[in-house]
Amino acid sequence: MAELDQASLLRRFEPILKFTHGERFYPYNVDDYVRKSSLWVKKPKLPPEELISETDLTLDKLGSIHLEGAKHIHYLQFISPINLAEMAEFRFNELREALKKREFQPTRSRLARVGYLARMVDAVFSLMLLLRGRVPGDSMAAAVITFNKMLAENPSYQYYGRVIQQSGWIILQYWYFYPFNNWRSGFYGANDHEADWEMVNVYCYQDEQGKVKPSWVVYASHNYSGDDLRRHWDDPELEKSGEHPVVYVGGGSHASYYQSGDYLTELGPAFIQPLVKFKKRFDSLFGKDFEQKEVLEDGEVEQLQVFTIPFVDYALGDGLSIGHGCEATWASPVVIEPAEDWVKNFRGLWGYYAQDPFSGEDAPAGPRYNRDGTVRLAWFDPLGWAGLEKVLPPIDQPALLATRRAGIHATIQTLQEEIEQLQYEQYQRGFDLDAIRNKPHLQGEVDVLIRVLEEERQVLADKRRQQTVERAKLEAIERYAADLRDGKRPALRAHIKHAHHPQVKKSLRFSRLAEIWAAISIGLMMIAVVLLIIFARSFLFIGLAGLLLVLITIEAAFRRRLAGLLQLIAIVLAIFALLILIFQFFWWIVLAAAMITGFYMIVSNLRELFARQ
Amino acid sequence: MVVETPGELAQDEVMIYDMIAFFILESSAAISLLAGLSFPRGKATAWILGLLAQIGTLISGIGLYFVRRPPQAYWLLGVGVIMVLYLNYKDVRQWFLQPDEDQEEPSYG
Repeated sequence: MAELDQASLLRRFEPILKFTHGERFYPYNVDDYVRKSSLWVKKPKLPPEELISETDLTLDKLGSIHLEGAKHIHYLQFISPINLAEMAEFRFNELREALKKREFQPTRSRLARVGYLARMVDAVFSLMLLLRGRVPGDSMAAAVITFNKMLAENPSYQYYGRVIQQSGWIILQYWYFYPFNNWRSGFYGANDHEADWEMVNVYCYQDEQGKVKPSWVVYASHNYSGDDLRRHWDDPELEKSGEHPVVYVGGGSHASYYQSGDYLTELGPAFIQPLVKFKKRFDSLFGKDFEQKEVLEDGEVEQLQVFTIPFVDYALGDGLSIGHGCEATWASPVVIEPAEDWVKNFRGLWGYYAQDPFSGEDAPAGPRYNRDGTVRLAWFDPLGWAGLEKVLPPIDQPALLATRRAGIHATIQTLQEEIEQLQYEQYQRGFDLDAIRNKPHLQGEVDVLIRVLEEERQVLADKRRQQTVERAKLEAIERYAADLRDGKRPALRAHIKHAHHPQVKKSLRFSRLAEIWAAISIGLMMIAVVLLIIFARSFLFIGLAGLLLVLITIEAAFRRRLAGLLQLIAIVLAIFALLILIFQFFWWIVLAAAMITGFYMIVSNLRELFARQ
Repeated sequence: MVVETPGELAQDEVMIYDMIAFFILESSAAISLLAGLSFPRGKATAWILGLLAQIGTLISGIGLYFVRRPPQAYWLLGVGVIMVLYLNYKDVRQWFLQPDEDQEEPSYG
């Protein structure tokens, strides 16, 4: 496909990006970003070393450089530390924006959406953030200042595109580069890092006239992949403006969503994984599901993991919109297929290497590579990444239908021949058996025949079952083909197992109170335990039990589960009380039971006797 | 869990336990009275109050059993068990927790 065609195809379906109010960074060109960056290398046990300074680095140079060293981490550094005056000016502007209410305000606290265990894990995670490597505190401010200057000099919004043909599909891959991800410092999220590459794929096919038609869309969201990310072009969940899909971009994180709303994203860092594994084993052992669940509006139940850290991605779409018919439009797309040198040759990180053991604060690699330098799945196998390797382009379906129909017919015919042959053999053996059954000198042969007949009966039954299944399959395929001919749409969402929905706002009552409680509950609990140990050690057990009960009751009230909780507590206490009574009055209970049984038998027998008379 | 026998508890500890039991029992009695008054209206609140009163009764009974073991503790336990069974009997629970016609959402929890 010629480059001109690629660009116009990308243009035709280019998505509309809707940002959250308070977003600071937008898709931008990498040329300006690289010119403002320096290239560094971090060798094991050595301090970082600058290879190319900010003034010397260009995109061409980045593409031509040969990076070597097995354990060397090469990375760009976009932000240089800012001076006190710049920082003061930035903070003053922030304050002014906040007063004008232009700053982002979260709708609900993330901690109010999850239970105590998740809050405790979150507290540990926050403490660890102080110890592990992270992006320096003033980076966001410096990035905002630099990006605003860049945007003032070159006010354009850029995306990079690929058009890939794979197994009958035409895949339009849109890559967006953001100079900074300020999810943590700007939107109470999990991480900050320099540079952010995000992606949206549109899967098309060519019809009989050679026209390109869209069929599926996939929005990249954090590290998810597969069927759950994919939406059919006709899916009502997919919002479109003409032929342009609408993407709601997560504030700071730049993850992409189909609908506007608050998305609870649960991250499980490495130090939690042993607990997660233990919990899974526990659940499978007892066949119970102890996970918290959130019931969504459409009845789907979302599982909330206990040992993960909750973060909210705010994809509200109430900020800037870029794209067709919006306040801001896209610059001409830059086609990166075949891959340009900077895409192909630079396997390093596109921003600051924070040396974070969990990698969340390290910048990502380029569009083609993972952080470890391996090629991204979405780059070399965009079909497999979206779970589309098993889905045929609509144009190829009639041919496949004919092949499948012929194949199943042939299988049914073969099975029919085998069944007839086996049936004939059964008739012969049955005939022989009837003839020799009463002959004493042939009883050995009778036994053999009975055994063989039984074995062959099984085989015959299996063949007939298989034939019935094949016939049912053929009927289903014929019906499916007829539906497609009549223009009926196949099930659009059958492939989705766990769709990522925005959170339902009505699931918490007294929301402000619940948020305050969520923020202070874990801290209060720890303080109360310490006070118990200091001042009332002899009542430690009863105090802890009471404390736990109070905490659980308050939480249940916020989550509208008070009745269920009280019922559970009452039943547990009643069982315990019953055990005490049985322990204390065992023989009295046995005697009473015997007495009652005796009376019951007398009454029952007398009733039967008098009823007969 | 180590359960101390009454003889091993200090006098002031026994007094504190008695005070807690007295407080819980008195609260349960008040809640029972409220539950009894609202029972004829068949509202979910009555069922919740009833259950709360039984939780109080059972906690007092179990507490008294472990601290002083007076004969009244067994009565409290027996009554509590029977009342919890009664309140959780399917028909009773359904009667109280059915959604009201004039109220969109049940008022429990």
